[in-house]
Amino acid sequence: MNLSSEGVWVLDENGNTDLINEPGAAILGFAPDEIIGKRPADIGFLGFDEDAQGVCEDQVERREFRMRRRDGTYIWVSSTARSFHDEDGQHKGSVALFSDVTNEKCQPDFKDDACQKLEVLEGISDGLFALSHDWRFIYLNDIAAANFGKKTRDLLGKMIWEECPELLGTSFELTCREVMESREKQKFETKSLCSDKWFDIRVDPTPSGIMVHWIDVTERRKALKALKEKEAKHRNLFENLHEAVSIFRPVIDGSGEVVDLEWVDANPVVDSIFGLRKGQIIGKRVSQMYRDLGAPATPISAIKEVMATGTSASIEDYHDPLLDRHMFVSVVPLEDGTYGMMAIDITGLKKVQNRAEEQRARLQAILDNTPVAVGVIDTKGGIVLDNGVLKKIWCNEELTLTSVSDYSKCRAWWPETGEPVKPEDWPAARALKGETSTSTFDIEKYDGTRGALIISAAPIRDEAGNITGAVWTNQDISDLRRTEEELKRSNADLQQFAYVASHDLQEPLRMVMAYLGLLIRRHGHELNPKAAEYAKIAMDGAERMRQLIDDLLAYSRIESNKAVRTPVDLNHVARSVVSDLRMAIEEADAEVDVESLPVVYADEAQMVQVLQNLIGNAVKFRGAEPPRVKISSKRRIGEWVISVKDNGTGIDPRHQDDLFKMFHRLHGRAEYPGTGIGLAITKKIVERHGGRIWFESEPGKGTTFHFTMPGMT
Amino acid sequence: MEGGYRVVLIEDNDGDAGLVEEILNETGLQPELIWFKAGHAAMKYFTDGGKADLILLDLNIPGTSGHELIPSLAREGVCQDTPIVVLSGSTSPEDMAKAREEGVSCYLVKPMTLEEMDEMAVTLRDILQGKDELGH
Repeated sequence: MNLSSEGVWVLDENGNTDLINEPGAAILGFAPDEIIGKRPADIGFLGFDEDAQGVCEDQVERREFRMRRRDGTYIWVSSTARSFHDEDGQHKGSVALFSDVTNEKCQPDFKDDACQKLEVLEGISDGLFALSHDWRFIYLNDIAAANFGKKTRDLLGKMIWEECPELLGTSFELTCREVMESREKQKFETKSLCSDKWFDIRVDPTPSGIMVHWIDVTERRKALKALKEKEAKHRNLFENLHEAVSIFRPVIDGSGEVVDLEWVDANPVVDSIFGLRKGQIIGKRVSQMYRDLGAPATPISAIKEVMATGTSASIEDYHDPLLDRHMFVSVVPLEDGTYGMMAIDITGLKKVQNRAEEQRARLQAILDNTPVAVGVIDTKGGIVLDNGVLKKIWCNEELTLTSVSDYSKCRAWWPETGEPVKPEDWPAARALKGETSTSTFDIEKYDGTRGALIISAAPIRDEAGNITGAVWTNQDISDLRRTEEELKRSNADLQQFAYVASHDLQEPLRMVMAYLGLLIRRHGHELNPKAAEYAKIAMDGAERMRQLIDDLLAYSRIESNKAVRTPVDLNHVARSVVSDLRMAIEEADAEVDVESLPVVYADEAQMVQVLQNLIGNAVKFRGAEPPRVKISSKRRIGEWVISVKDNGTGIDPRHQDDLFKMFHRLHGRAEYPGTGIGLAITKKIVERHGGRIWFESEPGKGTTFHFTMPGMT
Repeated sequence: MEGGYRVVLIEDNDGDAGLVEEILNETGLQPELIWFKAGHAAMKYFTDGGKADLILLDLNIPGTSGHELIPSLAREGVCQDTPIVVLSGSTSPEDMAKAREEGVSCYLVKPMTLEEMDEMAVTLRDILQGKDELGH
């Protein structure tokens, strides 16, 4: 509601222009002086004054019409005209308020809008009156009269200062007198004398005196104040945002191409990014800034792309070439052809996101490359997520499982009983009931081959503990199972071979040994010394062979014997072994010290063999000093460690693996007799009992053999 | 009672039979040795009313095995008075246990060395003279 764009045209009783304001004259294409004193018809506006004169007092005529301006262009004018009369009904003049509505005219609902606007102007907020040189009212509208608390007809022709003495001494009176005197228009804003209203008052000189025109600007002031406060708030927000906010003006070249962006405004963050003081960025150009700071590229093309969308749009992840940071950039076209842009540094976020993505990719890679089928089922038992291995395992690319009852599509048997596995027995189905389980099933695949599966499943629960599904794994152990069976078979074959071989070897060996013995005993004296020596060598060989066969038999029997496990007191075993070895111990001048040993669950005869081998070795492989052997034990979680420590020759730790192999000997036969099977037997027994065996040694200082036995529960 | 002992040997291996002969000589009792190479021949000997003071039985013989022969001999009432001593090359605990279950008096592993032969001679002499605990 800008009064300055409204034209005010006042005609006297003769139809001559008494007053026209500057905006009014400008609408018509003249200066006010060119119109004052003239009739509208004199300057080419036919019908305008007739219109005004034609209306009765207190009536408002509202019209729109097309007008030719002085420069020949046509405009649409909306006009509200009124005539006024003296007490005798004599026409005293007329006034018209008008405005250029050419632009609005283009809009379809202009008429109503314009009428409303004028109603507001004339009918509600505008006050207008004209005074003669002797301060009498020539014209006043209802608003003006109401403002003085009088009726229009009561005031016309009367002296203002007499009728409205409250105005005397006010700045209003002063201004009116000054304008009357100086013939210079004045404008001021003032608060109403009798209300909280604010008025924008304009006093214009007229040929017959002055004209006073005011509008109520209370609302405008309020709105302005609110706007200012709002703006201050926005500014404050803008200035204090941690994110960089800029307003750009596109710089356009001759061909209309956007070639650069110029900062129209920016918050201090932007200044500081470019190392400038507050406000210094304004007027600078983006590409120039980036080039000056040595950036390898500018963001112009990226921003242009967003600008081209014509709406507010954003770049999710823009890598800024200058800052080497990842940014979220959003661009908003503003009404005046500029663009607002906000950039948020998401480098940190991006890093976290990248890490999460990497982790996800790694997990996916593991899942995709694992030979184990992994998946998730919903509460009905249907597969909602899996790595595709299940279909491969079952040799059926079409296999779909949408509920527990579908599990019957997978043919499986309990290996122990050969009973078919019911759908609800699958670990996945059990997981839906809250159970975490692992089962091994024999299966028949879709290609008809048999195999075995290890299946595990566990429930998935939400925060409240409700089961929302389950995660499962299926591992195809068909090959493993086959290998295991083959290995078992081949082991059994080997066992059988060793047993039969050693058993059957005994008979011919017996012939050799026994008859060689008889030959030496009965006919030794008939042999010459050379022959007697040969016979002796043959006997030695035969004896060694017997030892080998015996040990081989013992070794093969470890497996072929049924496992008989009873609680075995190792203290007792150790004592009886020491007693059995008494001869050897005494011969070597050895001391064997048995500390407290545990009771283990084992095959007693085999435990005897183990301790016999270890204690026997400790005494046998002696150094220069008389052997000192200590047997001790230590409790560990779930197992016992039994140690046999000696002060003998020691063993190079390089032999850690070889030492326990069959027939492996570290020494010449002349130094230490033996077949090299003892430790192989010992190892086999220990492992058969679920234990491990190893040694620690320092050559020259001694050796400690350790073996473990599962603790009794 | 000095002399006059009769020992029945059931053994298919000539070498082992030779050794048994040597060992029996070592007992100093000069027992009479009746040697069968197969189980059925020995059975015939006993069913025909043959007598023995000691039966030495190899488990690993052709035809009827030693394990099968033991119950047959028992049915003939032979073992009532005659100790059966198994002579075996096997040191397998299963073989030993099985023979004991079948009611043999003694399980002897065939000797290899002179010492073992001497030991066995002592054992057999004791059995023949009725001194062995495992005997009668």
